[in-house]
Amino acid sequence: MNEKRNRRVWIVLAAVWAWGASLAASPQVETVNCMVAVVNGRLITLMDVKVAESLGFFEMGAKVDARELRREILEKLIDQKVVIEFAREMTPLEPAKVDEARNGLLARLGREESRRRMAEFGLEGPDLLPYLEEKVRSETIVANRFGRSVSVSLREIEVYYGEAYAPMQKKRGAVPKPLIEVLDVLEAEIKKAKIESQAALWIRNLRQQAEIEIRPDCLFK
Amino acid sequence: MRKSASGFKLAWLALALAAVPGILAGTPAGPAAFPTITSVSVKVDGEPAEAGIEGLIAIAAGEPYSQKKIDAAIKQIYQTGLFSDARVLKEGENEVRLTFLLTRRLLARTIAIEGERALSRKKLREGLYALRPDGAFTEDRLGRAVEELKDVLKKEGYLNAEVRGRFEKDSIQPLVDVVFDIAAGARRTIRSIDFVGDPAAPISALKKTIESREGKAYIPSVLDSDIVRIKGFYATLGYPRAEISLDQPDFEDEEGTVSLIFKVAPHERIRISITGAQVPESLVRPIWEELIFEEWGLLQTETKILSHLRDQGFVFATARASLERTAGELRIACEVNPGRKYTIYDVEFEGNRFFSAVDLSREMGIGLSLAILGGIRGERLFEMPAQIQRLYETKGFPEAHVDMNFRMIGSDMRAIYQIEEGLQRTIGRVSFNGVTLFGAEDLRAQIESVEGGPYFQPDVQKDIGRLETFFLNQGVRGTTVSAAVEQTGDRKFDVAFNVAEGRRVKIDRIVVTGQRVTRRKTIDREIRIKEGEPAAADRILETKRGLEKLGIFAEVKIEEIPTSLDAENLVISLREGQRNYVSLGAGLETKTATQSFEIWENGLRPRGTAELILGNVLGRGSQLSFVTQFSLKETRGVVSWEDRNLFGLPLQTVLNGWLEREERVSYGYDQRGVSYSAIKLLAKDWLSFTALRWARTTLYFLDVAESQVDRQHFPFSIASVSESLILDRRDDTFNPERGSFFSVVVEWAYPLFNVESDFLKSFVKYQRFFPVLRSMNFCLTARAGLGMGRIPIHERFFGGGSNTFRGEPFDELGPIDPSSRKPVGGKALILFNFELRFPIFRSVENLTGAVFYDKGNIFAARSDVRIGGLRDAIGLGIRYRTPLGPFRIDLGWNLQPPVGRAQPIVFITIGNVF
Repeated sequence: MNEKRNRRVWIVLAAVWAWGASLAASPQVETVNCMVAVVNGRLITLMDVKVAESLGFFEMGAKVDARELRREILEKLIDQKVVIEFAREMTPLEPAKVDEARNGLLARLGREESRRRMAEFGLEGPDLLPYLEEKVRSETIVANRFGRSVSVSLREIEVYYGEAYAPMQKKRGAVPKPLIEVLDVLEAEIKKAKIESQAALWIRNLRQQAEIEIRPDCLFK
Repeated sequence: MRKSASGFKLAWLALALAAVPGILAGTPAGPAAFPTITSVSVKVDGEPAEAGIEGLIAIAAGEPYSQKKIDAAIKQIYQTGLFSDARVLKEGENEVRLTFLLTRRLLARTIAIEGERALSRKKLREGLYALRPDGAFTEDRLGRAVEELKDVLKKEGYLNAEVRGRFEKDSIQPLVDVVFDIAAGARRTIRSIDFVGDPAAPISALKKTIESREGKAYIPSVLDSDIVRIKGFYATLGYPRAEISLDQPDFEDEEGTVSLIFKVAPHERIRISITGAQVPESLVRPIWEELIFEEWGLLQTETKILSHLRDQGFVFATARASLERTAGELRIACEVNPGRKYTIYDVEFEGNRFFSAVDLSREMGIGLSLAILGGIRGERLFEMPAQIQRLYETKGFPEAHVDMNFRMIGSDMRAIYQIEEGLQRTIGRVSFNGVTLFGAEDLRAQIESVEGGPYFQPDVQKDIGRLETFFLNQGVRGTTVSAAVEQTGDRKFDVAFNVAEGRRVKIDRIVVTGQRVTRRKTIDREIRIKEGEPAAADRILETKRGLEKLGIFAEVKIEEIPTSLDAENLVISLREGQRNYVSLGAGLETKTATQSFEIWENGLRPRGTAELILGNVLGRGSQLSFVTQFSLKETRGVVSWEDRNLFGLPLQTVLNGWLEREERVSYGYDQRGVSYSAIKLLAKDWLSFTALRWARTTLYFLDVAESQVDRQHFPFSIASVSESLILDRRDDTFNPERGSFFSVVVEWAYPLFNVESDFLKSFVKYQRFFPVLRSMNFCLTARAGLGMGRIPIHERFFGGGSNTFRGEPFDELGPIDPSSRKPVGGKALILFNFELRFPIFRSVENLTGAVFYDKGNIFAARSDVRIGGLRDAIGLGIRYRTPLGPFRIDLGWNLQPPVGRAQPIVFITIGNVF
């Protein structure tokens, strides 16, 4: 009886050993990069998305779902590409704006943290330039197109003051400043919101005319 | 009990030990110091990639693992255009094994449309943009193509059409065959058509103008053209600004019908009256068809009328237009005073020093008009002052001013252009800043701006382009050039070219891909650049052109893929084209020169051609062709081998072998022969054509006396070498309108290897084409041929016919046999042809008329050549332009016709005269 039981134990042990050995023999295979999207013949790779995600290129707000966040970042990158494609000719790039974007990024993350995150991708400082240049170029095109044509009326500022600014200040426990003191700030905020809204509509139209191919199976690797 | 407890413990210990390998395998390794790539493998569509593809990936075993490099590799792969997807797999932590999985870009091989034949296949294909034969294929595009076909069907009234797209991939090549299945469904019927608004015309008349009818099918595309028809109808009633639109159609789904309503807004009626001169109202009506700024409209009206009158010689015409608005009507009245009509017989220039009068006439293109037509258009006179001023500006005279005056003698007029040239601006110093890679002299040699030369800003801009091209051709990428101009003297300008130099880039690897049949050697011969050399843009372009010229590739793409800041890969993507062609042709020919326009009276005979071409034979880029032509007058079979590297010689060569029988006017011959010819491009535009020929000819009939020819019935063998030099500067080979053509041929037939040939022949031809006035074209050709030695009849010069002398039938110009009256040919030829072509109907661009004058003759011997012996012919004709040259009908009159010759002679031909 004992011999029979011992034999069973040894068989089980041998099976466990074999399973462990097989694990040791077969290495993990992972996809490190792939083509995530093609926009009018221009490529976005998985690494482009991951770099944008890791270094916080875009202000995304609170996104609980990591997949949703990554998808949003991809959409932003696609928007950049369609906008730049629209401009066709190279929009002159102001180096100062690129520096400003880089400094903003470093300030947000901190130098060490930025370096660490870039090193994960094998990137160094100058490697960020193409990403930043594309972002700044896209923003410049949008600003040039909409920035000058947008105007804000006093009535709009008044309404914004009453419906948005004052309640927000009170919620924070602060006393809302008089309208006259925050006129410029509020005008800038409203203008920015208007530009964003018009730009979003314009970009949506551009995307409808663009040839966009997205590969979700690559995006979530 | 004790025994079982210890056994239990032993079992647990053994279990723990057994699990160790599994635990270790699952435990991530500690942070790798320097993960290294131990292997890189590439798979295309699941199969190991060919060597050329592996070369695209600039990552090698032994390198440190870097995501950045992998990302760059994927982007480079994508840039080649060969792959639609790329994925990189990684195995291992410290020792990394990379696998690139690539998916070839698919191409659509065939696109078939099946299902209901509601519309022609051609119409459906015309609406397809997302997918084209030989174009890229993706399932995304397939979806878009389905929508495009649905749109086409909708426009033709098939509102509920169903379209399904499917595809089948080739098992070997990255090609797919696409099929669209169409179920068009039924069209709606038009129940009623109404017009609302203020029609200003009877509804019944409006309904008659449109194609859509009650009871007929509802077709949106027809409705679009109906709107245009209605607008045209209103225009004829004097309402050119009528606005017509179609209201939203009212569909009755149960009945399958639709009601249509056209909204009509005629707006104002436009009346135009022109008094004082014969000027058609249609000249100015288009100005008023749109809503325009009325002051501008009046100015345009006056300008158009004056231009029209000046063209007719009313140089001093005046016109005054005015506008009157009444209820629902706009009246434009123009009072014209044409003045006296003049013929402008000459043009004179005064005050010109920089340009001579001849230069100015040539630049203005008026010399020939005066010489040939004896006059110049009036409107042209008024265009010239501004053009002369612009000409002076390009030579550094920005203040040039030109006034126009006239001197009249009766009804003739001479135009005098008084030119105040002003002072010339010149370039002082030309300098280059920011240049380290090349010397100033190298750059100076590239530009047109020279110290002391004329200063003209646009030329400086062109020089910027030239310099940027120079840098590209030296393998430097990213260079930008700007120019700063500074006035340093009274009329002196220093030009400084500021150069922001890029980086020198070398070719890392040259990757060739896409060829299946073509040998690598054939491709390598055309590659003008080597690995390690600077990425010279002109040599890269030359490589592309060389490959395209082989004529075996449907597509040649060369991509420069940067691999680092100073290196790039050159990826040559090839797509082999169709290799083999068969063509058959059939036609009719007339036995003699046509005597009547009624073709059936001219003794027609059939004529045929069959051709088989085998391309890219043995992957060498060579071509083997078999051509046969047959008619009752001639039969010919030709075998040709065309090669670009025969016997290792880098020349385009053709080996021909032929058998032919041809019946000419005075003789008929059988000939067999072989030839070897080589074509080489010499200096700019010059081409050399060298040929070695051996032929054996037997005359099977001869209608001239034996004394008239040097050799006759016996087989005549010829071994000859000929050299031709050709300079072709025509703008178009088949339908030239400007430029020139020159060729000289010398053939020496030497009695080698028991052949009878012993003669020397030369032939020179010069052609010139140039436009005259607005839409006329003038061409002249001069030909001269001389021969000496023993020249058999079939090698002599003959003339007469639609391509040489249009006053004589084919071959019948020149000496004739006194008894048989048949031509014998000659050893000397002189021919001149002059032809002026002009449009007949402006609306039919391809149809032109022509008048011509031919002068020439064939002479039996060189000693017979004299100017007085040249014959003359005049005539007129009609041409219709086709891609292969003009289709011509000519009538020629011999000014010294032989007795009994019927005139005119009719010639029907395709191709240019000369």
